[in-house]
Amino acid sequence: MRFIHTSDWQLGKPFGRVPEEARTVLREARLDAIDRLAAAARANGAPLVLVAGDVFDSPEPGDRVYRQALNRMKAQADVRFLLLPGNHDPLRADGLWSRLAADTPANVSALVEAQPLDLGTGSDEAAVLLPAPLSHKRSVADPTQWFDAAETPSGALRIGLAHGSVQTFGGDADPNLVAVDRARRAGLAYLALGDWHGRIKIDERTYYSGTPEPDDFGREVTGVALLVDVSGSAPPQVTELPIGRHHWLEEGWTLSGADDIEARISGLAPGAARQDLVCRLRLSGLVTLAERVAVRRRLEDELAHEVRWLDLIADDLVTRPTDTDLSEIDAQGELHAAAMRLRAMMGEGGAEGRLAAQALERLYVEQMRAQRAGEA
Amino acid sequence: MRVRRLRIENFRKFRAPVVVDGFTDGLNLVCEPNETGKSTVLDALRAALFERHSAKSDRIRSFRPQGDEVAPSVELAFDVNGEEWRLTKRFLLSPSVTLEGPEGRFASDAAEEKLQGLLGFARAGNRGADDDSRGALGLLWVEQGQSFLLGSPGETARRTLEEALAGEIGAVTGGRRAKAVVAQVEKALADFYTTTGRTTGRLKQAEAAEAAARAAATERARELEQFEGVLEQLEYKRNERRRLVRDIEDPQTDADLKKLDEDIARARAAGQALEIATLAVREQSARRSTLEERRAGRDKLAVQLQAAETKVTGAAEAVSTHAEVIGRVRSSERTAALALETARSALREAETKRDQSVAERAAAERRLALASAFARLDRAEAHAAHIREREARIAASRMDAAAMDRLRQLEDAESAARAQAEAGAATLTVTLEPGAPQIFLDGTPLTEGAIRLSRPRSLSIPGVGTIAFAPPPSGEPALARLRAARRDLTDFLAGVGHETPQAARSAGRARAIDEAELLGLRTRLKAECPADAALGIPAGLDPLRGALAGVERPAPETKDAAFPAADVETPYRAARAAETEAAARREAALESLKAGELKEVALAAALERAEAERARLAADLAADRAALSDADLAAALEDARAAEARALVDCDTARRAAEGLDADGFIRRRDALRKKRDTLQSQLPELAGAVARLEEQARTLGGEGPASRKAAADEEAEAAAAALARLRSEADTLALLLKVLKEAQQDAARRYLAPVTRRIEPYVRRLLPSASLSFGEDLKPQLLTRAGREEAAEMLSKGTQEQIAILTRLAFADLLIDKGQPASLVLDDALVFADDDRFDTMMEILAEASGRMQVLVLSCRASAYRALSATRLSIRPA
Repeated sequence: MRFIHTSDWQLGKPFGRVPEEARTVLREARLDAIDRLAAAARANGAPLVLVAGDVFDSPEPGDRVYRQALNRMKAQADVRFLLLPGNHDPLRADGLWSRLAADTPANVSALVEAQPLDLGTGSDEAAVLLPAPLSHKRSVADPTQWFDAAETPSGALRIGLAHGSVQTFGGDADPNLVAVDRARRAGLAYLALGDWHGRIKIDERTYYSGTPEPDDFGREVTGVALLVDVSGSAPPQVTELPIGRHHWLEEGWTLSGADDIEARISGLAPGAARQDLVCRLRLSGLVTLAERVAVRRRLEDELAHEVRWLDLIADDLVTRPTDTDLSEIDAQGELHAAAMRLRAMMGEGGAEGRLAAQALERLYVEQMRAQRAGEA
Repeated sequence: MRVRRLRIENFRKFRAPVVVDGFTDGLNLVCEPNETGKSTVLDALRAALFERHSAKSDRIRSFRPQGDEVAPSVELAFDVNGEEWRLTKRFLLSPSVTLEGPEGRFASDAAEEKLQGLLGFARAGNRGADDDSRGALGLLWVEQGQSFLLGSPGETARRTLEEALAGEIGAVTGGRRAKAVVAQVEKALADFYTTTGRTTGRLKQAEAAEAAARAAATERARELEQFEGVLEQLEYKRNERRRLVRDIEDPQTDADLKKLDEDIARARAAGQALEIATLAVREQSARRSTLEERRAGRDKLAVQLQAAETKVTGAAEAVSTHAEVIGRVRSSERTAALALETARSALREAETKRDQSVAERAAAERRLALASAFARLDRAEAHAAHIREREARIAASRMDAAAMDRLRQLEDAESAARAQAEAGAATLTVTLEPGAPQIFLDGTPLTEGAIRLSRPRSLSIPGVGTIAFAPPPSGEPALARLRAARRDLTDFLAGVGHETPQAARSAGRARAIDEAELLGLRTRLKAECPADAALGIPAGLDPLRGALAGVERPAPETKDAAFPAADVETPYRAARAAETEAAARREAALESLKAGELKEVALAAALERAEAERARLAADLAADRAALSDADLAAALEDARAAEARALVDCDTARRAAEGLDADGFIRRRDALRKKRDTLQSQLPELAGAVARLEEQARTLGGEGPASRKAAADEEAEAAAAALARLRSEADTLALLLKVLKEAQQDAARRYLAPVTRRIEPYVRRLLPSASLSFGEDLKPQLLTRAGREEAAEMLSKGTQEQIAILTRLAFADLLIDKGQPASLVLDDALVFADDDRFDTMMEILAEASGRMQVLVLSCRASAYRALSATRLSIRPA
């Protein structure tokens, strides 16, 4: 049988730290992923989508979010969606899942009980889904424990669907911990996992699909879903399907001047459309005042407007104002005197020094503006 | 720059062309009366240079002579840097301008531009030239009434000066660009902080946004908490409802209720039996106690009867005993009454005796008083006779005290008049030798001694003749007064009836003696006639006479008759005491008798009551016994006691049967059980409602997505805080930048103003010793420091302000000349407020300055400038 393994849709993620103009698009993109997944499912003849938890970003995303989601899925009537509550949207009495149940369209099911579900593939090979819904943000017990003893018709494919980590990260009580060898122990043909936002293969039958639409910096492979083809006892064939729209890119640039800035900019995420780029740049290095101003102007006044969002962190791009810088401000006179004074204050370091550096940069910018105005 | 020649036509008051020429390099003076057109000359000079020839503004129109549609024209010849230039400018009608000089001939706008370049001023604006456009020359050519202004130089002039200053100090200030940068920074900062340091604009918005985001996050957190609370409560209520239903449907409760109903029925039956038995006991006891009471009543009655009989006997005895006692009391009362009668007779007798004795004594005393009164009357009559005698004498004499005084006055007047008369008279001293012949004065022989010649005298010496003396006529008035005085004295004596003053005086003295004695007599008379209380006579002689008039004078012997000395008081007092004692005894006896009689009545009444009581008791007892004999009563009582004992035994049995069965307790328990079940049942709908309500609430609240909203609000709050921090940092940056820029500007201003300060200092010192002047950055005089005290330039006197303003211009001109810039000084009617010393000093300074630059002074005050060594120019027709 063939199905699509996906997870961590995180619908309704607020992106509150992102500027408002980018925020709406990033939110909308998460809903768009549903359509793309359905299209991919249809294209690959796998009209079953297993969502391994964290469909929603929070236990109470609100009616608007879940209705929009259900509507999108309802529109893809030929694709069946099975949704598993994860740690972001756990099962709770009278919570999200209870409310959503009444509005669920025919092609969508919420997996709110830990019991085998006949997938009714229609083909010769029977398949049973073993879901492990989470009812708490953090549960100490392994939610897939019961897979081992779950009874299924003999010969039926056992497919596990769960949400959580498979290994501890230092803490001795990591929540929702799934045994790393659960697939083997429970005789699963495939264990579809969610929680990590990057795509990871744990073993030949255990995969994290990662989120279909990237939502943060510093993930590994994101923006994909997995096309799983499983049959008999052979290891499943797992294929990555590109789904995501946005590229979240974080880079650190150490600059020694403004010369290579163009090259660096054009080397950013080749192949990705600028408007789909979410970019965090950490600038560092030692440059002249003129260079710093030029770099900032190029990045802040130009690149920032081209991409979806540019998060520029230039605190570590240290300026060392040269005499040329200062004479550009003015060769002599008051502006020159002020610039000299600020440079002296910079030399003293500390918070005052940083402030003086900013003031000097501002002076440089303002005098350029005045000069332009004067020339005009 | 030096003006050489000026020709003006059709300009204000100069319709016909006029010329001012002969300008020298140094000091030039145009000294003309008012209304001659000095200021017009200056206006024309300024117009030729600074106004555009093509301009049509109101000011240009004002150049025309009143009512004439002509073309104002000015021709000006001047030198700049040793080169000669000729400027011709014509306004309004076919306006034109030409400028000719070593570089050729310029016309129209080219001429204007060349002129601007040569003299350092700017193109005039549409409204004509102003302080900003005129440049340094505009500043230095001071119009009438403008010399006082201590203003800041206009834009172009300042720039020229600043450039000159920069050239001198070898460092340029930031100039316009620095000002622009400062203005930009100020403007940018104004978007964060007001000038007073309050946040505003973007910073204020960001603060508000941050506070709002924080508040929203708090609110969202509260909403989420509320939602979580609703879910928790919902679960709790559901559990509660489950427990409640279990409790209501408990089968044990049904069983308990059934058993309790049975127990209650049994307990009720036993209770009824006990009640019946108790009633029987009560009935038998009542019967027995009625009989017992009857027997006790009968016994009591017998005892009471016996007691009543005893009481009757006692009362009869008491009555008879008391009869004897009262007999004795009556007889003693009678004895006491008799004794009292006797004592009263004795007392009456003693009283009579005492009254007689008192009457006799009073009569004797009256006789004595009468005798004394008569004696006093006799003496008083004698005094009265003396008084009458004296009074008669006094009445006869006229020499009273007033007359005596008058006499003395008259005598004094007479002797004074005599003395005066004699004072004016000559004195004739006569010394006769023994045996001298007889000489006669007025007929009488002359004796030795002094003779006053106050009246005509005649001395006759027999055998010799007569010598007559006449006093001078000046003595006559004194003599007349003497005569009048003597006449007055004689008249007075005649009036009082005496021959001589001596006789009058002794009569006066005798009268005074009589008056004194009269006083004594009257006193004595009054003393003999006092008020006599014993006889009832008031004071005075007449009452005394009247009182004694009808009374016989008592015989003299009665006066010595002795009173009878018999004692009548002692027997009277004894009789009185005896009577009081007898009365008291009688009173006491009467009291005793009254008490005895009262007791007699009481005893009789008691006896009567006792007998009545005995009769009643005897009748009652007899009646009771007639109804039921003593024996029958005893038998009935025995029977009743036996019946009561039986009933008590029955009742005890019934009580023991009922004791184990507490009906009330059973009922209470049953009711409690029922009530508990009812209570539980009544809670059920409420609980169901609560669950439904909470479910609804969970649905509604959950529909808003509280968790998502909270997450979003948290992130937005964080972002708002970050944005605020960024803006604060930018604001701090700008504030620091502005501070540093201002400090740099102040430093630069201090340095670059030094040349101006240095140049003006010697001038100021000459005018105001030991004073110094400082300038603002805008080249405006600011502070005058005198003897360590600072004064704002605007606060100085008008005269001093003007002098300083002129000196400032002079310093500017010096500065410009030092830098090779064109400069000259024109003063129109300046220094009118200067005192003579200051004026002279200013003239000296101007004269010195004219060695370096051309100075043109326009004035209407010929006398003030008479001594000034200057080239004198005149406005003359062309």
